[in-house]
Amino acid sequence: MGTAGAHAGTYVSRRSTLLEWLTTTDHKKIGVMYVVTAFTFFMIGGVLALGIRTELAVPGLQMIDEATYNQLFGMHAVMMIFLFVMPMTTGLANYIVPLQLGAADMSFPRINALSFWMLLVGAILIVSAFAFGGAPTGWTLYVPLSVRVQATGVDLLLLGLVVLGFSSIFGAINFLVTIFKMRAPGMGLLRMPMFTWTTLVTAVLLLFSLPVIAAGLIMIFIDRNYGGGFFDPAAGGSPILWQHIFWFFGHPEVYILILPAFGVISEILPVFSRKPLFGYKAFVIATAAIGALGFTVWAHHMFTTGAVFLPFFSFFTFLIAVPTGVKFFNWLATMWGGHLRFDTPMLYSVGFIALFLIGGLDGAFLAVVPFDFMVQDTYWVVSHIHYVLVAGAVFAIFAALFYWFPKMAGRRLSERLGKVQFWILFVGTNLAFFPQHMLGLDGMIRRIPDYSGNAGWTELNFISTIGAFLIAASVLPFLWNVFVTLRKPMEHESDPWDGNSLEWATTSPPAPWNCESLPVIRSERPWFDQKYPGVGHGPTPPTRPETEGASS
Amino acid sequence: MQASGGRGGRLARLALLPAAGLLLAACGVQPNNNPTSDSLGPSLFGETANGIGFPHDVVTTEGIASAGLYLPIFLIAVAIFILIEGLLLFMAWRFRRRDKDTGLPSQVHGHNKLEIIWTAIPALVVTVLFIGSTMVLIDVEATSEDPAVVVDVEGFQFGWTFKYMDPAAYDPVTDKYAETGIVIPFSPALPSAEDPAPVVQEAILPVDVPIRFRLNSLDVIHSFYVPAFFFKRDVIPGRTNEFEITIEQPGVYGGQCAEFCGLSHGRMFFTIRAVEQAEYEAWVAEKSGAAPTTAEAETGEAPEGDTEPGAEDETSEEAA
Repeated sequence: MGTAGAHAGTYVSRRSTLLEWLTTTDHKKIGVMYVVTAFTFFMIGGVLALGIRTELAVPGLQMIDEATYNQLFGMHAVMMIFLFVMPMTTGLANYIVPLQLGAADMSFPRINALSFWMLLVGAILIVSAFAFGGAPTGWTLYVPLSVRVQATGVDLLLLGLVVLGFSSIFGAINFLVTIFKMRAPGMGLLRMPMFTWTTLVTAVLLLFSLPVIAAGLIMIFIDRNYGGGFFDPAAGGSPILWQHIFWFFGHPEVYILILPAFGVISEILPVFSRKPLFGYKAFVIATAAIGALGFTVWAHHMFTTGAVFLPFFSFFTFLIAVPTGVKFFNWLATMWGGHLRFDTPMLYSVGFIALFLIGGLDGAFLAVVPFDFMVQDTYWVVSHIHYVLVAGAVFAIFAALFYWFPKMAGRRLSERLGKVQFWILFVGTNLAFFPQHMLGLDGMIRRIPDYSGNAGWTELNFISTIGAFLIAASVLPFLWNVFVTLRKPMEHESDPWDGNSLEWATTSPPAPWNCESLPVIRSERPWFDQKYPGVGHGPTPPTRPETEGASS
Repeated sequence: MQASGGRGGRLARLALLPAAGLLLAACGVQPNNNPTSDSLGPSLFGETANGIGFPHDVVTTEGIASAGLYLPIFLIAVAIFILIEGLLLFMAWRFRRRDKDTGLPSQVHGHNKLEIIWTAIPALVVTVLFIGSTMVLIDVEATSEDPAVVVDVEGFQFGWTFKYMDPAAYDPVTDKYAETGIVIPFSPALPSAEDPAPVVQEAILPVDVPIRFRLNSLDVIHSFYVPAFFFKRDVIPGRTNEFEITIEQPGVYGGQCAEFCGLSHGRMFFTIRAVEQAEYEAWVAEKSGAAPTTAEAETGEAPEGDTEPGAEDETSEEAA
């Protein structure tokens, strides 16, 4: 301990063989495989979305029939949620969290590999549903519809989701044990970087919610194939029961998708503002509060069933806006008075704040039960979920990819291409999803393949479709960026952004054992403290060993 | 407060579109049996492009109260939006890194008083919003002792049946009202080879009296949604969902299933035609006189049925 951790160039990485990738238990390789798999499904899910938007561009059924359309929106949601955002954030956490903790790997490297390969098995099951009649049930799989649909595809979807569920449960346990047991000496819980904190809370949410949905999916499978009566009113079952099970998982799931995004933003803003995260402890408390409150609001998805106690769920839905608001104010205060540098990760982070705000505000409307009666199951809700998951999760994912790419690949992505991509995505997101508020308010319901030309919805839908194609177009500069950058030689910059946390204290890419030595950890910014001695606040100022030439 | 806000907004929009209002009134007295030009069912709101971004053309007492909640929340949302986006733009300009910024800015870690303030103020705002919206909710959910009209709505894949019940004959044991024999059976709204000019299914209801809807499903979950009522309620098998509304304006209001229910979910249309009470009573008297034929139509009705043979007769009778 005590010597600077930067040993740029001391470890010379070589290309791994295919066999090494297939048999690896290295958290970094597994992380990269997660990220690549997730990005592939992002593009497949995106193509499905283009199918939906193209059909809705103008009134009339031009391109696809009802049956095909009904498969598209469900599969789009399943892929984007379970095969893109979840594996993507899991992959990033896989790569980054052990580095941030100063650990050599996850606690259970082989279970980590198992989680990834189970993800692939689940993904194959889900994709194969297309070949067996598809799953025209929506991702919500509402009973009795999902029990009645005569298509093997639904069974494959159910099995695939159960496999994914177990993959994520194993992953969650792995992260919890890693975070509680593998922290470097000196790294107390309140000195963990925010991305690790949000991964911890996400793992808790996964562990509490996934067993519930796995059980529910198996119940539907039994109802479908063996005549179980769990959800059949004629057999004493209840269709409402499924909605409770689904949303008891489904709402925490939203936070499972978005909390890691909060973590990413909370990593990037301080680095590019050159200030500490404002109100770190409040931020930790707000994260935990969002996680806890996430389990009290599930039935706000069920206001129109007439079967839930409305004021309770309305109140907690309003309440969850408070810790979310705290995060917004803390992010803004982090930027206040800083020296802001707008590299692509920062651009995406500020874009995240600017647009996720809209997803927060239009979500608050939905807590108003009488208003929800109007816009539930309309495009207002579609707009809300996409402002949360595209302007939220996708923006944060691109921020993270640009931010950590130099660590993973040893060279930076092109800033110019990154900025071009950002502005296309920024404009596309707003064109695609903002008009959907008006459509919802006008009574356009979701999951319909067509609408009347008399309804006055044509222009708004057309704009939305243009936006969707812009979003798709924004992926092209990114792919080109990755392709071009990977053909360049490595720069091995260990700390390209002047970072705060331990992943920047080791080589880029890190050696299989991650690091040779660690800085002294006395705050949530140990690497910053080492580079700028006496500037930050560690609770213990004193005998910091002298570092040579680390400060830039 | 909320209700008056909604009425004010509505008045403003009505002033904007007197011509559309007249058209609507004209439609109200005309039978709505012309298929829409572009193959799909009824437009939900008519051709009014007014009020984009705001609730508009809401016609029930409950809906007007609910829609009135929109404006105050919208204003709060706009204030927050301007505050935060304004701060972001200001900071992006004011605190951008300049060449002279070689050192570190002041390392501020937090400010307890500030953090308490920006936790407490949102908490206060959402509490007020919760109280306001729950007060409206209680009114919206309220049911009267003796509704003037009781309609049982059955949803099925992919259509609706409206059964008019006798409000005076409630049986608490079975939780059912006695049937009057008046039924608006399913009729397809889409043109087909057999029926190039189909009639949109239309339920007749009186204005200015409480109407109780009782919703049941014969198969999967549907949702009964009339945008002009600013309301929807799910239609769930094995469960009767009830709600009450009072329609304030005569007119024809489109509705559609709002919960995905399978193949032709996007075509589960119906319309409600609200008429003055005298006209409604005349219609009921006429239908009651023709009870045998309606009973026939009812028994002949298959829940999963595609086309109702009796449907055209039924509605064209109405139209006459």
